[in-house]
Amino acid sequence: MSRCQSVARPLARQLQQRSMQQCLAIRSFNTTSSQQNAAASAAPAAEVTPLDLDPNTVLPEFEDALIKAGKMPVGSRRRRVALRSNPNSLPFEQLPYQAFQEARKILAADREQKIAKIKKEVEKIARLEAVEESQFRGGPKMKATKLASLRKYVEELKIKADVNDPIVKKRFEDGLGDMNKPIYRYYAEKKWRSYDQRLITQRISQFHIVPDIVPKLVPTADVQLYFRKMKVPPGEIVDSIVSENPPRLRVQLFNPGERLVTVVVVDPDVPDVENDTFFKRCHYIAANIPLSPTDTSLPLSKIKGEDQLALPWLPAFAQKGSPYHRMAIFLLEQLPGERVDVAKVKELYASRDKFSLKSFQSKFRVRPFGFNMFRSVWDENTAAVMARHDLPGADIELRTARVHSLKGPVKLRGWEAKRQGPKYRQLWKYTKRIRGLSNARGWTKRK
Amino acid sequence: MRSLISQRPLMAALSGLSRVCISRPAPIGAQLANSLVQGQRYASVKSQGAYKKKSKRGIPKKLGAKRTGDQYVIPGNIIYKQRGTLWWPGENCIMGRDFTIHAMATGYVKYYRDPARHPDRKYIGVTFEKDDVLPYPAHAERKRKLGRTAHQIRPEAPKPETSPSGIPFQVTRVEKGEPDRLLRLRKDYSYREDNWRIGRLVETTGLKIKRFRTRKQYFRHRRWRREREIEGQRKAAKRREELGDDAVKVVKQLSKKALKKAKKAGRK
Repeated sequence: MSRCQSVARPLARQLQQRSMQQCLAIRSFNTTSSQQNAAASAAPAAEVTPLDLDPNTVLPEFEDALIKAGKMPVGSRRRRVALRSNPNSLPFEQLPYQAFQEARKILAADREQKIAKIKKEVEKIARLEAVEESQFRGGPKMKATKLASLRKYVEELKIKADVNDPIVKKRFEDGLGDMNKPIYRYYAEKKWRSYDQRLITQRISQFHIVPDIVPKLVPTADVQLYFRKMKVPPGEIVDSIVSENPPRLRVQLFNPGERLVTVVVVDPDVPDVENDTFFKRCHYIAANIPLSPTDTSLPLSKIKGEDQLALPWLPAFAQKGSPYHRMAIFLLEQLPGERVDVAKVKELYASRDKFSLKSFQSKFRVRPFGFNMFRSVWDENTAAVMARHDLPGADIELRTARVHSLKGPVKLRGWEAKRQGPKYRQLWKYTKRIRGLSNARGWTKRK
Repeated sequence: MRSLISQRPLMAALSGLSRVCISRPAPIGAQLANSLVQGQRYASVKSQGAYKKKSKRGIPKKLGAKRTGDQYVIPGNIIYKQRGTLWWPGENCIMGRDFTIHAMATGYVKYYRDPARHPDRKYIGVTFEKDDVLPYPAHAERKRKLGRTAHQIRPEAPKPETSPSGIPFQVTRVEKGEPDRLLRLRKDYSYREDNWRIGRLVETTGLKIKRFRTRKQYFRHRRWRREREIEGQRKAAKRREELGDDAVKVVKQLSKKALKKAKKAGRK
């Protein structure tokens, strides 16, 4: 609902009700007022009820207000409407179906078994940790391997304990899953791998991100790109006026713990006319950004800290006639407990041109783990965007360089071409149309 | 042939019999057949020469390499003509629909193999430098050329307000209660609205052209309609059954034309 609508709504409703009351007062004996009754029943639906303030039952028209208040609506709209119509329904786990309850019992028993196993394994780990490295058979290396494999097994068991629970699955699908718990991270990763991960790997290979910008890239986190609240699919061509302001990233990590990340945006397709090649330009660098599986929002415009923002956002732009520019957004993981020296980054990359992510990686010991991209081409807004940000080159157009044939020039052929000399002066008024050079209107060949 | 050879003793015996019965020398045709049966061609046949003659020369297809290794090419040059894929297009090359390999960049032709891409295929590529070796290292950055030159953007020539004859290029027709219409000057000095603008006028009338906004809505409507029809038919059949045969008065559907005709006949 737009702002003016929302302002006008109570007023309009009051007027409507008053007119309705008047109608009823005047024609109270009218028996055929079914239409009016319908209108009267429709009008209170627009009113804010306590159900509309509850994220479980909010109607679509009140979603925005709720989101602004910081509460995300739960589940699908259809489900919310169903819950409204039947608020006192039985909880899912208490449904009175015998087979269902029997199945739940079996699942509960299985879960008990898994938890017992986890307890056993944890005890085993504690016992192993207590043993001195020198006493351990196979030495410290063997001990570390054994502990690692045991811990991995425990993690597996933790997932297996909950993976069959329908309530857990439902909670994940409603977006209520706690990403600190391994089972919800497992579901999130499964969902990501089913489509988004494949899409992003395809984009990495089809847009040659891998040999062009980094030699190797295996994404392990879900990175989504939002411009002006709109999700942009990876590789989409974005209008230059839209990409003038920095995007918001939605980052979902799948491994536990908080870490510091660096965000780098690179354009590898900046035309270099003198050398007849391309070079890379860095559009954005921010470092030391804390990220964990629970906080997913990463708005690039909100990163302003002195020890975080190294290079502010430079709008994506493509000169007229240049091929599309790939704007690659990289999320790089810093070593645990290590911070990137932002002052040094500022000093090194003050000039954004001729940027190399490969050397950046080795200089600051970061490793790429998340990726997304969009594309930029010359459009009707690019010139204005470039003027606003003092970017040169808006008045220059790139044209395809002509490659001349290896064969020599061909002598002109044809009746007219043969009769161009002074010998045929009397024919000159008839010999003006030469193929490839001119036509009746005059000279056509571009000089 | 094999069956003929296997029957050879039998055939020989038969021919012997015939020789005994008819003491005439066998005709040339029979001789030929015999020789064929025996699997040899005698000099008399060979001297005729027809079967030994080679077929006449066809039109040469001129296949094969048109450019050698390290030769300079420009975009569009044909490097190799072939039937099928003896060679595959590699770096800066494309394959035409008749499997011809063309260059897509100015550079030097390289014939090479790339086991990382395919274990068996042979590739033709074009490199920008003569000394480059294909295939390039796997994780190295691609070598690309811009292939464009910079030019100043020409500002568009401002269009004059009025035509050379002094009348405006476009006028707006304002009619009360109607949307404004933009009429443009035509070659024949008439003012007329653009056809595409006329088409857009439909939107301003508020007419409902399509009954259904979406295809899905239409199909849903059709489904429901059919369900209603079937239901109605079922009910009618039931009613008919209840009333019995005699109660049903069959009204034969007549076309308009037939009705008219019947009326006319009745009048007479």
